[in-house]
Amino acid sequence: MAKTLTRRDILKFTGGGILGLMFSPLPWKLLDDSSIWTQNWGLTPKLAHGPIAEQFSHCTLCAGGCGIKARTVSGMPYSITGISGHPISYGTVCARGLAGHHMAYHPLRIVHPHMFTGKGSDSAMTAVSLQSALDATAQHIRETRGSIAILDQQPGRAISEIYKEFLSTLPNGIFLSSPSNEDATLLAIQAMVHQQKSSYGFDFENADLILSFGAPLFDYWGTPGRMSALRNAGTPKIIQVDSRYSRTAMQSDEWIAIQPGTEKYLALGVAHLFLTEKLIPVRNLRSAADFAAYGKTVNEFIPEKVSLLTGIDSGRVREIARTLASSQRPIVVSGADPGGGPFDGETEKAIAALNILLGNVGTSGGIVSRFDIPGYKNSSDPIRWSSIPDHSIGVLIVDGADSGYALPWSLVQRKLIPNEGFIVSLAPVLNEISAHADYLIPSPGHLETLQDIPTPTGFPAGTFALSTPLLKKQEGTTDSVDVIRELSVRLNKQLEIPTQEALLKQKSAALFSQKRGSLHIPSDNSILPIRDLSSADDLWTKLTEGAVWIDELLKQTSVKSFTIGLAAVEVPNPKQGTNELPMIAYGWRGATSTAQISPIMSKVFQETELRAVNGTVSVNPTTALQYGLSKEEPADLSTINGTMKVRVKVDPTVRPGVIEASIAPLPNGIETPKHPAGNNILNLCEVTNDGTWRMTTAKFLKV
Amino acid sequence: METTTEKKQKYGMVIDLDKCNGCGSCAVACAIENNVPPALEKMNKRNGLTWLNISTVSNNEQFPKSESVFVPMFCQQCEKETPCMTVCPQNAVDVDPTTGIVGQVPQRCLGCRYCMTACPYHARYFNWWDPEWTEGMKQQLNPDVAPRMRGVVEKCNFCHGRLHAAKQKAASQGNREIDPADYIPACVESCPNKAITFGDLNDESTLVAQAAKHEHSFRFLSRLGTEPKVYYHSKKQWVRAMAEKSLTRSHQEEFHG
Amino acid sequence: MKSKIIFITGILFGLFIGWYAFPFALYRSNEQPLQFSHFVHTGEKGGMACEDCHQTNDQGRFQGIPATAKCAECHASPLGETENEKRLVDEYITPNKEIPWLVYSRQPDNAFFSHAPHVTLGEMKCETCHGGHGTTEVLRPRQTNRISGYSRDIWGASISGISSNSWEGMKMDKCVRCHGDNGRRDGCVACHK
Repeated sequence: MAKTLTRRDILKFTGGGILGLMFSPLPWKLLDDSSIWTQNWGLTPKLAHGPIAEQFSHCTLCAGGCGIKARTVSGMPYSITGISGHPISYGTVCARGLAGHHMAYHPLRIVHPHMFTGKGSDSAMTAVSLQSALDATAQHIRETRGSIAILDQQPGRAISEIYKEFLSTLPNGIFLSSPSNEDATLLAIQAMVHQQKSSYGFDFENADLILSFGAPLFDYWGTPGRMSALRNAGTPKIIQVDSRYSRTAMQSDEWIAIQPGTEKYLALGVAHLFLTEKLIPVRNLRSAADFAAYGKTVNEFIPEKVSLLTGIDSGRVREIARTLASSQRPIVVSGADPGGGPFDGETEKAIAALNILLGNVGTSGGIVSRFDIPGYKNSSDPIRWSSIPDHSIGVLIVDGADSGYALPWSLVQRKLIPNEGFIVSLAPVLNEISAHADYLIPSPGHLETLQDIPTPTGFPAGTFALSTPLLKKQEGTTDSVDVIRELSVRLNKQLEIPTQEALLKQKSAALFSQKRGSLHIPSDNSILPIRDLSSADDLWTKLTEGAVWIDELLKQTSVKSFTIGLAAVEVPNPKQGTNELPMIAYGWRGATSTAQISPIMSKVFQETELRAVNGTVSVNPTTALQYGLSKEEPADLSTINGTMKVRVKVDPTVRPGVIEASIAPLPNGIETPKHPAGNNILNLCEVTNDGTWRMTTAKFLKV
Repeated sequence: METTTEKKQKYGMVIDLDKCNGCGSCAVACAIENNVPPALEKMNKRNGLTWLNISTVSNNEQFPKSESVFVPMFCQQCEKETPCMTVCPQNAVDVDPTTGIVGQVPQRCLGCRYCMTACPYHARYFNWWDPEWTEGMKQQLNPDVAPRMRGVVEKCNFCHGRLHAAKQKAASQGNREIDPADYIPACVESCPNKAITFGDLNDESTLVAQAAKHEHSFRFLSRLGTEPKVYYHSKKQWVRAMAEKSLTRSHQEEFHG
Repeated sequence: MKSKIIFITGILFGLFIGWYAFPFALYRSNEQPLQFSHFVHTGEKGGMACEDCHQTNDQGRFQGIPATAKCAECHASPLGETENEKRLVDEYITPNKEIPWLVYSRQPDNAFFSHAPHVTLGEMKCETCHGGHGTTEVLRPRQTNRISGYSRDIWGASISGISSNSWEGMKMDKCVRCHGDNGRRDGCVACHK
């Protein structure tokens, strides 16, 4: 045998080895394992293991006050649903709330104080220490020559009172909130009432007819669950006066298509018919101290004139008046679409006055007054942006809660001292307004900290609940109440500001001592009167476990004296032959550009176009033809505030000669932080002197 | 051991289009329940992942007579000659004999997309890209539903994760049959207007079986003979007339009414 | 002649690699964070049954390996004198930390398996699938397949994947065979997530 190994030997050995391997499990096992490996690679996330539990809390993403049930795995919530039997939300959670647990980990989540430097495309965010951010803010407060404002988009919370207390120690502190929408009618009526101010709500559950001027009743108005429960019950009947074929118009019993901007004429026309055809008792008219002036105002709005202005057939106007007057328990509500903001003051008054004529203020099934929530100061002074002089605000602190309503940056900017206005945002997620800030001192986000849930807008009885945190507070975030305390210390104000938990425990204790009302317990859907609780601690425990307190209904006494305050209403001359069209800005409460929404909501925007993103305009086919528009090409939309490229949707449900412009949300706004924020149709809207932006005219530029 | 057979159920749905207001809660609830990832910037209507897809359809009248309805569309769970099952080369689709649910097993799928072509309802979606969530959102996935990698097809399975949970609960109590109250798909649960009714079509006493037989209930494209188990319902004649038509519109219809 | 020997040596070498050496390379071994004796608890001295610690909750979900709280029910302070028990109390019970057990029977994310229909309805014994695990004196290390990431228990101890008993290996074909033997017809969705 040869002693040396030849190449042939090696090949033989290898061949033998391979043959041997074939008869072993190795190749087959490797094949099996590799195929499993290709499916398990790191780009697909692994599922969590651990105990599955249920926890109850409340949603804080808007002022709706919905109860939520979260399923958790190892303590981390993975699914949010409603609490059936919940007295406010009736088991419903809106699409935004369903994905609420994502907000803590939103791509634009801020978990550390930051400073913005530079402007426009050169701007950058730098992390700073909490101390330096607070020091800078205090410094600006001390040195500014302008006023100091705090913008609170969910006023009525415990923190809102702290803000007001803090502002009262400053020489010129202003408490601001978003221009009101849902409570517009209620606030208008409150302003008209002579007697001691009370909080009001709508007793929809006992009403038989609602005449709504554009209020998106079935598109996330108030508490969505409450409204859909009404819808499912089939009463009351809804007549929707709407310039758009909105989702509410679709679901209402009757849609009255109205020319945008003419709602007040319809309201005055209906009032005219009430008076001239004696459809309402005279004493209702006389309950207004200025009934003579009011009567004079409505005198000229005969049905034919109203028809000309609004585009509604005069016969129909008469029908509306008669139907309304002959109902047992009618309610008239306005509030308009959240995208376009509130109606102007005159329109709100004209609409609110109808309730006075119908005599439903302080009656069951109408506009009801409710007990104030014990422990809260319950002040109800609406802040009119129109009362704030332009270019007067030196320091603006923006609270972290968002209302879910639109707030044009141009309105805010107008009130700031140019080049000197200093903005601090406490928002947990970078959004439209906070993107303009100088400093960010992020507060903990939704479900990360204890919050109070006061009565939602329009609810007929006071309520109180807690949003119990389901997630760990992220380090680097600061509760707003702590920020205010730190500022007051730096400014040498002698204020006793408790921690968030202590503050809310105070409210709960006040509730307990009042001994009124009852708790709804989510775990077993039971009702527990407060009187049956043993101690304030017992109440606190139940509240932290997701219970909601509902007050007793206040016995109603019909309100008998008002001042309406509508002296004269001008009818502008029609514009002659321009190519300018009225632009209706509309949105979806909860996603209207001051708020951020979970990326998962792309299912409803980007991936389906079920709802249009900001920058989409819809026009009727005839309008499209007239202006040479098509969905294939973007168009240039121009208003007094600038020009913007928009996507065009051709929609036969849109009124001819009108542009419907969506302002919610920013396309890919869920992904892209910009400072200042990118182009936004909301900024094209013309903000009037009374702080509304509902009536803008726009035109398409020829490309 | 003895043969164990369970009562055969045929799960189906009836969707009341008069009640649907296009709020989108069902679509969001579906995505959260089934770990469907949020859209990447490049995703759109064509390449997105919307197991529950809602279209807006109008009656082609002019303002103000024009009316719209919202049509939620998802796997119609075809019962007879199920097109996607028939064409799949991988046997990744099957019709469960006990529940009637057409089950998609993404782990078996090789991504040929033949099933997407075969589906008359465009109810199947392809993972063109790997799923992306933020680090925090990755901890918030539903542990009852497996996430999918790129390159596979996925679709509605009537919330099989919830069916598993219901069966598990029943079994631990010694029951072979589930309590119907325990098995409610996410879309049904989240609809504020209760537009979707779900249940066993084989059980005459259920609301869904009765609603399916209503004269105003219809199925889309029933002329294809696939016997879908998802019914739609509307009082409006023009909506019912849509049933056999395709949902796309021509250029003519789009611009000239 | 020589070439034949070399060839046969090659074959033998291949067989050796494939059958003997391969598993050593394929699997990595990790010791459990804490040693635990099932026998002490389930044998004559302890007298416990499987379900005393491995429980199913009211939703029918099997809770798997018990949380530290369960151990704390008896071992809040040491009952005996072993080193391991002392470590349990000092490192886990007192600071209320969960023990990072390495799970032998972890199935892939896409498999849905529930104990309730098998144990409660099917009246199967734990030993049928878990073998003699409940009476072991020590916890063997978890052998993890380096490529697929699954425990060796899933494929089975033998590299051939063939086992003579019901508790070695639990891949899909084994589940399907037992289901078939018991007259069940299930669709894919029954067991896939």
